[in-house]
Amino acid sequence: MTRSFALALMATSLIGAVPPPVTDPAFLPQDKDERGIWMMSEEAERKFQTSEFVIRDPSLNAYVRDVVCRTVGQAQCKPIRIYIVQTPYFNAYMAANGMMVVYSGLFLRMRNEAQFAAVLGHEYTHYTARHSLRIHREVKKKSDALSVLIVPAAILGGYVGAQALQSSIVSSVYAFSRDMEREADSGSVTLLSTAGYDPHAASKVWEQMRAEQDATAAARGKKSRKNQDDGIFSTHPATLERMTELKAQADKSTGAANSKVSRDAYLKALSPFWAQFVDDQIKLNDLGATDFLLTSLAGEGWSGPLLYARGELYRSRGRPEDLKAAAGYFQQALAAGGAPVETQRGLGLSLLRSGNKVGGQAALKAYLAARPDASDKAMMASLAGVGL
Amino acid sequence: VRCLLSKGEMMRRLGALLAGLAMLSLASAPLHARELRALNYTLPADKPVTILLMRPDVEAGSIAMGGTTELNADWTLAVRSNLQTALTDSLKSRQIALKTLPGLNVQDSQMVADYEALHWTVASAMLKWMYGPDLPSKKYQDGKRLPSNQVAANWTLGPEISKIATLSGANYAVFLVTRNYFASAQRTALQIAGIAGCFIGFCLPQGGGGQHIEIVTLVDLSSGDVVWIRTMGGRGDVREAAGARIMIDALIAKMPSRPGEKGAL
Repeated sequence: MTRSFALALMATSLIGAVPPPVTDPAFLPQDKDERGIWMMSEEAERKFQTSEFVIRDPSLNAYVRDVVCRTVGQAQCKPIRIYIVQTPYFNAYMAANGMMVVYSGLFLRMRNEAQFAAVLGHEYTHYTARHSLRIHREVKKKSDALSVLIVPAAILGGYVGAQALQSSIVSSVYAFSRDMEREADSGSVTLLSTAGYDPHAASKVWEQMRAEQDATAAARGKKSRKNQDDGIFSTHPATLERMTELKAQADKSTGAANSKVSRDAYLKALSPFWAQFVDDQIKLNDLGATDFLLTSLAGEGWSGPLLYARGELYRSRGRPEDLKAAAGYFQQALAAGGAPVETQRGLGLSLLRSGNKVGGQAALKAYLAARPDASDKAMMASLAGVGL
Repeated sequence: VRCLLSKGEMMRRLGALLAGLAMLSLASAPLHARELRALNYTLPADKPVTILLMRPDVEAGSIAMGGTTELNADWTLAVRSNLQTALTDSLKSRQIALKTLPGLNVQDSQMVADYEALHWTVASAMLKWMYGPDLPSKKYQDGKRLPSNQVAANWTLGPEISKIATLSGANYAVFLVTRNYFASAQRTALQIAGIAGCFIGFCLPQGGGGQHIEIVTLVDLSSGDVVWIRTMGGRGDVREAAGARIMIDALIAKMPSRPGEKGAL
């Protein structure tokens, strides 16, 4: 007992000072550690500046900047550089040097501007609280301590003692990481509320993620990982815990002044990119999660763009019954209106593969007429039986 | 970098990159210098050789006692500048001029960035091949035995790289990738203590010293062919001008030369 107490004491006596949060928009790194971390972020940013994966569209960038500024404040948002990366995963992050990276997969998963703002606010809190620096120092301090303390631990407790020390130090690093996440979650609720957004948006994000994980698992015939908790080795708190905690915090700060969700503005800003983002998502080859995503986005009715997406999803799996279903969704999408031009392409390809040559070629011709500069023009023209 | 989710995805991407470096660091205790060169390649004797130095991909920092690596911004800037000076001086003694790119417009910097990325992809493949298992393709070409470390120039960045020749007026490009992480004083002390323990029967050698990887690639800008690549472990303290010159001289000692040039291979 005395031995394990001594080991525990070694592990817990490693608490350092917390650096003050960033408040000045013109903040610069303060010391050697922080300048090193900034330089790594700057190198990453150099790559984003010329990356073909970054979406440069001015209107989408302006919209995202607008939401960032509304969420974190006009003065605070000025120095932030935003890079929208075309990749279908659910992620966003803010680097130590004030670079914000938003994955396009986030857009498909957020139902409205308030939810989008919740994620941005979370990442912004990581930035202002200088979490990159704090994690780095934590890891360094504890791995240094481990390399020294392992000797007395081994003498005191033998192999078991050394292992116990190692586990307790390593798990304390993960606990530290989870604390940073909780801090960022809580920061996002405050920012949402101040900006006038519905603070419940934050917990909704996690609710949706849990449901999506269930859908992936169901389609793959596996047990859902939604309640999966890697225990003391988790970098992030369990989803259920985050959801519950965020909801409780939001309940405390709800009022008439902060109930905005801005769904229409959000959908309008995304509409020109919808077809592309859906394509990227479908290529993840995760029919269960994608169909779930579309069905839940269709909670308020199946719009043209959603029907197009569903058609593309089934067309991509390409079983005979899928192609039939896909053609049906494309036709419904055309009838519903607002569907992207690519709906005609999807319809044409589905009909052709189902043996309906006349109908298929007619749809492809309609696609080529509406999109004369399409990147797949040559192939579509040959399938449509027309010369270029 | 903190991420909201999809840690696995980031790890997968990092994994691809690290696989290459891990192979290097496995072979690097200390890194055994290796090189590949295009078969019987020499620099042209009938025209001046001008080499463009691409922005050196440099990291310099320290390794803490427990093994955490830390990038040091001041050292990194110093190393990048020292390497450029050392390379300029070292090549001058071979009558080769070294240039850097002029300021570029957006389109050209995009193109150059693409080639920097392509270079690293190709160079990583070459490194994996070099340090990888003993394949027959390393020894034979068209059924003939190859001289050691020589291959036909079948690694290339493509002939369109001549756009960079036009931009810079150079006929070759050199890419430098260097990683120099120096052991902190505490790490060195701990290592010495661990080894010293062996003398009293309590042997605990921990960790290691620094980590140093230096890579140079020479690309013919008319064909895009990678005509020479060499890797080695650390030499000299590259944070200082004199140390950088020692490292560069060692790194490019076997660079292809003009036929008949002193020390030509």
